[in-house]
Amino acid sequence: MKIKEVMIPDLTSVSADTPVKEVVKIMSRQRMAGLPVVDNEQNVIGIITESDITKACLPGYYKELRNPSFIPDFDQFSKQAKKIAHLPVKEFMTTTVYSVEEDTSRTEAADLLFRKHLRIVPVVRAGKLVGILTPSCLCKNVMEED
Amino acid sequence: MNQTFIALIIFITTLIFVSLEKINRTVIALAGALLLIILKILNQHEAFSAIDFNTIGLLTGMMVMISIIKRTGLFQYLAIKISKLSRGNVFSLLFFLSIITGILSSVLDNVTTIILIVPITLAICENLEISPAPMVLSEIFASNIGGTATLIGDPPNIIIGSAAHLSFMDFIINLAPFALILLIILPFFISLFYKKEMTQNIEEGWAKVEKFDEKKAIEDPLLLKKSLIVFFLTIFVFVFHHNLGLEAATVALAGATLLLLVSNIDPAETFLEVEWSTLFFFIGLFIVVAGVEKVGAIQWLSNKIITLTRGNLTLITMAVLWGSGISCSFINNISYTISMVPVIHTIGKVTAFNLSPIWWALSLGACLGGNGTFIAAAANLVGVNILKRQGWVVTFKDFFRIGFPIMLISIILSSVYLFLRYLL
Repeated sequence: MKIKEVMIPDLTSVSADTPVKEVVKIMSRQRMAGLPVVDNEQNVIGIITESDITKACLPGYYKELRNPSFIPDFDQFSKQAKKIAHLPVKEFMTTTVYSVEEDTSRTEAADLLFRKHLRIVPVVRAGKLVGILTPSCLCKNVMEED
Repeated sequence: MNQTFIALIIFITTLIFVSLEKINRTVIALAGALLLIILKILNQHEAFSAIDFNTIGLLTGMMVMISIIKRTGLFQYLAIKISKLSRGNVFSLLFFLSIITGILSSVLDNVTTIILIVPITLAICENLEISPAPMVLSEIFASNIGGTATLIGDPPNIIIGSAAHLSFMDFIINLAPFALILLIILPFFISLFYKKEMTQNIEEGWAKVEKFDEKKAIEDPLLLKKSLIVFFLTIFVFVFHHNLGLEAATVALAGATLLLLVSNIDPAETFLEVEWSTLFFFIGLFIVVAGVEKVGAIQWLSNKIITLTRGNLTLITMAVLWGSGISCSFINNISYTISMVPVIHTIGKVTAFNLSPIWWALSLGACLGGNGTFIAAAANLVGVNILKRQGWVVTFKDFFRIGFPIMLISIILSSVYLFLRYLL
């Protein structure tokens, strides 16, 4: 069985200039851990995940500290979140995108998800977005087949 | 092509590429070393004999110890505690952060010191709503100055200590007091470049910094106790290592092994943090320098220095100090020091001088030269890159504008110090 039979044929995606606030709304509504970022021709140019956004909501120095537990809560998270809410998603997306072609085998796709610790992989046809693959949709498909 | 010419080409090419950092420096040093063996300028036995395992062992031992102590959170604790002494004054903060960086750097390698101190500084400055750039630059300079103070503070000292059989206490007696003076002068000098920043009112933000709970920075109190006991025991043995007939590498490796034993940490995990790449960089360089030494280039250079200085000890010392300071502002100070060791040994053989002032000149020049430009020392690049990730860009020119005068002043003061203490 090929990935095109397993993927979510949903083309929910965002453009590079979509504000982070809007992206979070879409993720929450669609219950997606991440979204592909596409250009006008539906080419995948990045991936934005919940984890990318959470990381961006922490002040920069937190990422450099080995252990930030000595800093009391000064509402750094909410202040930073408000600061980035209106910024375009291109500032926070991952531009190294792992995608799979729609006729990739399930094993090959599962191997990619596992090796790269991915929670969402765009499925493409000649570089254009045709769907989404997540670990749960892949496993569900395999476990429910006769 | 004659062997002297080939060895020189390999040596110069290695030095240039190591300093350019376009290709990994370890690969370059190993390639140079292997070429010398393959082209039969050195045989394998000669090459392996050229490796100073006292230096390699000391570096490895300290890397293992520091990788374990780092886990305790001790260094963060100290940095926060000391910062609080500044009581909300920007200059005092700059002063205390520089001093603690210098002190830590005298026992830790400079890069580790910067990686530990700069993030704490960023946290403090962000809460004070001030630019972290003056503080971080001062910490970078302080790490290079602090490293000069001890045998284990900076790789050039480890190389010099091993080559000249200088003990831990020799460095403490001859370099530490002078390094401390430089360290105290540094924040005053930095504040001249940032007069406006030094007078900022930070009262509001300071209330937040005072709430930082340094005790929470301690991640593993039991490991901290064990680490402190072993660390101070190691330093204690370092103080007497020559009297005990022990080489520095033995002391460091014994300390590391004891800490592994009492901490019960998996050595495989700790060894992952040892910078093997740096160790093999040293190995490659020792062999490359042995190549030029074998073909007589070192002898030639030593004779040239003696002739140009008319065999005058004061002139040789000053030439080594200034040559090292200026050179190490642009080229890697590890490769420079490894190259200079046989030159100084040869000068000693030819002139029968007491070499002490020349060794101290090499140490001061090579370590303090690291402040000249931001490419001069790894700690500079690491510090500047952390700043850059937070949106504070320090260009080559920005760094040079402050760093080069600091290097020049510290070398001028070193000249005075060496002259008054050893040459008068």
